[in-house]
Amino acid sequence: MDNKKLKKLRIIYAALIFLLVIAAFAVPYMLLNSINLFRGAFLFWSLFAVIVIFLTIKITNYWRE
Amino acid sequence: MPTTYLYLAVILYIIIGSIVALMARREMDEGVVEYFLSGRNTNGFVAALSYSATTYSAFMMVGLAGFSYSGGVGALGFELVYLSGLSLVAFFGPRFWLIGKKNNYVSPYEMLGDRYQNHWIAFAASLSACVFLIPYLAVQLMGVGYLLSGLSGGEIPFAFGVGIAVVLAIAWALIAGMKSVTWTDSLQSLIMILVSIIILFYVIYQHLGGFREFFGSLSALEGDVLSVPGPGFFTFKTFLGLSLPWFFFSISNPQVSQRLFIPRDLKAMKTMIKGFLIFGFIYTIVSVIWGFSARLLIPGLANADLATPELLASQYVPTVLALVAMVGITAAAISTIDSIMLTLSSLVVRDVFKNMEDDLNQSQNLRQLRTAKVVILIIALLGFFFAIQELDLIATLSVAASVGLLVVVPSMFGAFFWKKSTAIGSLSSIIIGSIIALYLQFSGWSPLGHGAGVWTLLISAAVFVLVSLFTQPPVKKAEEFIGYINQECNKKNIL
Repeated sequence: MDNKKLKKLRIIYAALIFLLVIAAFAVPYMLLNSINLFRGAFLFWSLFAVIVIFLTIKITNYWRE
Repeated sequence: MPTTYLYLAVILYIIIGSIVALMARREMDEGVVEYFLSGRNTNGFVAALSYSATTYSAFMMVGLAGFSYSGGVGALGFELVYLSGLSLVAFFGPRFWLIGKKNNYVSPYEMLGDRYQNHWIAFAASLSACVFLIPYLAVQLMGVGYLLSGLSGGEIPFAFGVGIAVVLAIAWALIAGMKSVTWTDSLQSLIMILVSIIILFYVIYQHLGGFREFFGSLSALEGDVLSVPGPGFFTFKTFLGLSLPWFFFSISNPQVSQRLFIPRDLKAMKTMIKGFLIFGFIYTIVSVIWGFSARLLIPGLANADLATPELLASQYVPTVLALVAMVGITAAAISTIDSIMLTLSSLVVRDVFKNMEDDLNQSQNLRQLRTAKVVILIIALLGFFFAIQELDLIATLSVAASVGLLVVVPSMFGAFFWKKSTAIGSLSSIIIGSIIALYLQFSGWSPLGHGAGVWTLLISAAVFVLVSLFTQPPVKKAEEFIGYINQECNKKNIL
């Protein structure tokens, strides 16, 4: 992969993960604080983790020996 | 629970673990790199299981379950934010691995010292790691002591549990260094995850009517446990103060970042990351739900840390399952303790005593290994001594560990991504950051309501950047270090 594309991908993935982490702090406290159910903060944080795990694995899938 | 059963379970665990450790010894080669890093030749499966066992300690099924019991769903958010911090390994992992192999680094702080061309950085970071990690290790030992004593109704003395844990950790670290640690870790992580899933499903389906009813009962509880701040502990500032330091755990804690040197190749590192993420996600959900189950079944405990031991000792969990759970939690503690002991000994040998020659001859190898073994024994004795004292100071320092170790994070970022970062910037951020971490933790002062973690990270990062801007970077080394990594990353599609 050429250098430019690699750099672009690096920025995109880092930005996506950064935004997700910000959301993990903000959303449960600002938007879900009145939902005392499974589909509130519990589901949100679980989905957040699954998406970050997916993105992390995607990053490692680019690697070549 | 009958004490004889507890002793039998512990003996069985010791025998099986020791057989695995001795098998690892038969595969072991000679030399320092072999001892501390298992020859940089660990396969992905073992690396994943060992990384999981090292990261996850007795804190999960005891401390995190206790947090969920008293603080509600915020505990899940805190631990999953930590897990998301593993995304850092997708960027740092291959860089650590590439440069570690090229320059033959054994410890992550040795790498920092060389990158910034200043040995005092490795020395200061290693000293700070000892100050924070030995109390953390002592708390793990205390966990085993309390668990055995609690489950036996006080018949097994606290000091006996601590003693067993320390002897096992010493043995499994000494038998074949990193190889016996990773092999026994693999066994232990399998025990940890299987046992925790089995007892959770048993309790949920046998006593709480399945998951749907379980969440329904939680919603109906007083204190809004399924929302934040919920019962009150997880205010936003507390959540931030706890989660932020833990987000950087994978690069701040040397016993974990050293693992980035051990995979055989990039494929093994990929498997290690994938395996750990899946393990971590399951173990986190299980530990939190376990804490919630305790809240439903045995409400009203004054000390939430007792939620797990009390639930295991209750009529809700059959003796056999409680016994395997006890082994699972003990395994979680010991797999963390032996890894910390091994890593700290490598820091002391390589970075404090400054033994970093690249091509060691046989007698130098032997001398370093002898010193390492003596250091492991000294660290273990210190841990044991701290643990049996049961001092409050130890708990405070242990909590401060995740905060104190943060001070190397700016230097790690600088080492890989900022050519203009300097040795004085790194050293001053480590020293000032450690002082801030200790002062805020001990004084209990929270400026603007934010905890020690937030301030330590902000101040050490600011000091690192500002001092670096006004001092001279090691230009040649920075070019060589980052240049090599960039070149290899481009070849290997590493983002």
